[in-house]
Amino acid sequence: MANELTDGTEVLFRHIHPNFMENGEPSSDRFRPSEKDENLLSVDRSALVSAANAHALYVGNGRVAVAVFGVTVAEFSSEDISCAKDPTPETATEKANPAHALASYAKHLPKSQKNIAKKLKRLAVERGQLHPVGINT
Amino acid sequence: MADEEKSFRLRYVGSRFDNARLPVDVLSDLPAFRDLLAAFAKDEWLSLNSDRQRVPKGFDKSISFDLVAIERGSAVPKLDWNRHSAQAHLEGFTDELAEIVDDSFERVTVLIDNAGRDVFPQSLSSEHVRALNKLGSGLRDDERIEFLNTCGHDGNVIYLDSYRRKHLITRVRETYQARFEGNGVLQGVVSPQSGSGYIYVSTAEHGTVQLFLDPDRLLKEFDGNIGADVQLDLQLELDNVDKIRSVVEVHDIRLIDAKIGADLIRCKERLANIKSLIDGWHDGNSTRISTAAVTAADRFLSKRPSMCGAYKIYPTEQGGILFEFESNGWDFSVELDNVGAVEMYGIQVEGGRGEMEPVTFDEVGDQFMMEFDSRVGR
Repeated sequence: MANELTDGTEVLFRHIHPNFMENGEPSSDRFRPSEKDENLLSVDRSALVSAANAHALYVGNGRVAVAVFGVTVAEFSSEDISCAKDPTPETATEKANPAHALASYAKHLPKSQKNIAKKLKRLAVERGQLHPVGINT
Repeated sequence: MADEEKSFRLRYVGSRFDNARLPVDVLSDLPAFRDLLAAFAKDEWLSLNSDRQRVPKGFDKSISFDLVAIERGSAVPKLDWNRHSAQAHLEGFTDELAEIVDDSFERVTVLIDNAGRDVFPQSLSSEHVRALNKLGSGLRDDERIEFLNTCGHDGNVIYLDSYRRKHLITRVRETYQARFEGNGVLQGVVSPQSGSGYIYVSTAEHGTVQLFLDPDRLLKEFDGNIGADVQLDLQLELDNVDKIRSVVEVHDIRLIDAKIGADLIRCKERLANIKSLIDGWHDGNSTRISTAAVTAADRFLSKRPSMCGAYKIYPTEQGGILFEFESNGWDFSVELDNVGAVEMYGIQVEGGRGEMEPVTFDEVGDQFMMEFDSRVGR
């Protein structure tokens, strides 16, 4: 895949809505695609944007988030999940996001994705909240 | 008719009855079924023998049933009328009694079938009501007892559920009985002057409940704990708007320790927040949390309040609720969907790399709790 991300150390950001946070910890289901996502999980690439700027763009585009967590390309890969670039263009309502990427869970049935999400969430929590730093939401 | 077998099959429908499992809680239905049938049998006998004021001696004992099997198809207890017992207690009447038992069973099922279409008798004797108050009192809202080999007005098998029970009993009487499992807060302890003392417990569902207790237990366990949380399992007498009239039986009452109580309150507050979410709460991509999910979550909390300290609780985009927690070296999730079904899964985080693949149950019932306890430990 031409757009596949190959640097295993690159951290990919997930933005967490306040309702999915309790006592500083995100829900594991934020680390797997929703039904509407068709097995593709949206992330932002740390190679192109900082966690703070990714967050600013995310909320600037009208969404709500209180925290950014991250999982590396290698951690996704260890669960047989490939990640690929997917920059989004500017639209009438949203600014462009050149750092946007997609993690593909297509090799896993939705039921299996649940425990994968739990493992990835644990890795993300171990890494710590990446933005805002030092503030538990 | 000699030794011809006369059998009645009651089919319990609901996930906790799967695989011929019959919780001991509902076993009291079987003598209650007999009592109801016997009450109708007495009426039948007296109407056939209008010159008599009373049934003959031994009549009641002759309406006797044996539980001979619990068959599959959910759980289907099979009850055989004991012809030998009838012969022993009312010699010479056995064939007549066999017909009366048949007719009485039909009258029981007609009574219940009619209740399903809001047709009620003008009155029922206290004997009938007493039996009805026991039969099906442990049924939950999504459960029913089907009387196999019957056919109701709608062409389907006749069944008893909590709706029919409540309406049937409260049409002929002001109150009915039902089981209540939940939590409350200890509001008062009244020490005994003589005999038993009592406590007051406030509940969200039924207001303040007065519970009589053994004096020793009252003093040792409850005295000095005003404001503490209490776990309850009660048989209540309720009116037709579910207002409590009396406590019939205290199956279980336990003080929840202060730490667990505080954790329980935190979980309930979190649930209240989640419950208040409106459609589209997640950037437009979500539905409000369903009542079925909230009810299931409440039930889950009240089942094992000692676990509340470990729970992190989240809404799901599909209108469900997700509990996440660590226990025994595992990281578990319990997910309640928008119809109240429950799924449990998890990963081992200490001492291995085990996984619990998602296992689904229709409800937060006994089967789920058995699985939960076996994983989490109790």
